[in-house]
Parts: sequence; structure tokens; C-alpha cells
Amino acid sequence: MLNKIALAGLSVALAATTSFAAGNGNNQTSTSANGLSEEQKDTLLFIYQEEKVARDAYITLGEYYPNQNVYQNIQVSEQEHMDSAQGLCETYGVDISNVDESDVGVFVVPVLQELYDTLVAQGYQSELSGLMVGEYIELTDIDDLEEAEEGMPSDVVAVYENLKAGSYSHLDAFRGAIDAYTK
Amino acid sequence: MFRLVFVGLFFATVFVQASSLSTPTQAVRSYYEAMNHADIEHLNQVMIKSSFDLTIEVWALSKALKDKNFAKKLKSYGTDPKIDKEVKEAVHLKLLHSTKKTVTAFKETFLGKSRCMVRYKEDGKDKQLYTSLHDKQWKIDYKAGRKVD
Repeated sequence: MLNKIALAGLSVALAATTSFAAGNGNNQTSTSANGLSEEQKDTLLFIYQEEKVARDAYITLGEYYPNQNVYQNIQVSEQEHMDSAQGLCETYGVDISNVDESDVGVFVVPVLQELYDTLVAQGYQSELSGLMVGEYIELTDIDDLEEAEEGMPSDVVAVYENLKAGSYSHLDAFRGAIDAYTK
Repeated sequence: MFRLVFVGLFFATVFVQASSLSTPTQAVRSYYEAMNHADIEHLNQVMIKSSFDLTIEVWALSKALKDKNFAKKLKSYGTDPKIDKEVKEAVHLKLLHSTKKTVTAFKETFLGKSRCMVRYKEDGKDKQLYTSLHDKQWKIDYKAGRKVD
């Protein structure tokens, strides 16, 4: 469900790009002159905003639980996802000037603020809850990627598989930290 | 006589609903009215479907993070009317107990003929919502943040 919300966002964006490259996008009939359909461009902008939610949640929880290195390690990866989403927006002429990413945990779009607040509030409950929020985020990401793979051409599936591998790695990190915490 | 009153009330209701979405700012106001009154059906009317569904899923998430059974149901949201009703009821209850928000200082920026970004203050904080035009009604549309046409 959260694929609409966030965390597999980059994968969708990459899929949109790869679909174009393969000449096999879902919205091929409405594909614009510079490569992506209008709908795909809309999605890119929303994804860019959504990527910030995961990154900021990990930054905030990492600061709240400074002894948990897992957040710091994954933050770097999430920032890369966000940078990639920004790069895609720039490549395809999607204006992101109305989105301010400078303040961690601040979102101008109310639903994204609610999503961030919910994840962080749950993470604040306890160190274990924080780790479980991370696990939840990554599990949802994997589910969404698997769902998104259906019907996609092989090159898109390959991109999804790579991203899924990243999520599995994050999931292992969170589960390792949960195991270490509960021992 | 009774029939006339009924017909009058019907058209008055239709007019109020239509006029409440007659401008992008009115759509944003209607969104907050719906949220502040925990009125899920009204919320459904002021948003396009994908944005409405996203709103429901996000507002249901806090319960899902605490309740594994509910998390399973939330995952199936949109596939079973019975589950949808339960999820919406959970969101209704959450909204009922949430702080009511005040919105002021609206500023519309059109992103083409059929899209508009509305910037405003929510309890003094900067916020923005995107709207798109559907059959002469402006509706909240999270993905309408890009300039078109």
C-alpha cells in the first residue's frame, strides 16, 4: 500500500525512465516529446517529495537514538535515492522549485507531514519501536516492488530487483539490530 | 408542499457542494472542513480518488503500526468494501480526536488552465496543496504540483 506513499518511489521513477528507454512504457500513447508521459512526470514530482519522508524519518530517529548506527548507515542510502529522484526530475524537466527540502521533518504538503509524524511518533515509543518502524518501511518497500514488477519488461524488472536487493540489505540491518536489542 | 420543500433542499445541497469546490481555495477550505469534522464522505468529495485513498491510508497508519490485525486489513484497503468501511471508520475516529486546524492567508498560483497550487497558513505554518479541475469543480490532487497546458 505504501507504494503510493513513499518508499518504493525511486523504483517507480526509475521504472518510468527505463520504460521509456525500452520504448515500452505503460503510458506510451501519451508519452511526451521529451520522454515521459504527463502522468509519469507528475509521479516523479510526487516521488521526489515522498523520498524526503523516509530520509527525514531515519535522520530524526538516528538523532533520537544516537547509539543505533543502523539509521546513519541507511540515511546515506536514502539520501542517494532522493538525489536520484531529483536528478530524474531535472533530466525530464520536472520543476521542483516549489519543494523545499532544507528543513528535516518539515513538509508543506499535509499528508506527507502526517506520514512523517506518524512514523516518528511510533519510533519515539522506544528504541525497539524505532527499529520496527525501519523494518516496517523496508518490508513495505519490498512488497511494493514485487507488486510493481508484475507485467513490466525485463529491464524494468532488473532495476526493481536491484532496488529490492537494497531494501533487503536495509531489512537485514534493521532485523540484526532488533535481534541484538532483544537478546 | 412537502415535495417542494424536499426538492428545494435537494438543490440547495447540490449547490452548496458544487460551490464549495468552485475555486481552488474553496477546495482547500472544504478539505479542512472535512478533516476538522472527521467527515470522510465529504473528504471523498473534495479529493480525486487516488489522493483520497492515500489520505485514508496515511491516517490509518498509526493504528496499523500498533495493531497487526489492522495492518493486514489496511494492506487490503481498496479490495473489499467491508475492510474499506473499517479502515475509514478508524480514520474517522482518529480525526475526531485530532486537533482542529485553522487555515488562513490563501494564495493561488495557477499551473496551467486546469491546475492550481494553493499556498496558505495552517495554524501559522506554511502549507500548500495542489488542485486540479474536474467538471468545473476543483479537487485536491496530490500529483497536480507540476505545470501543464
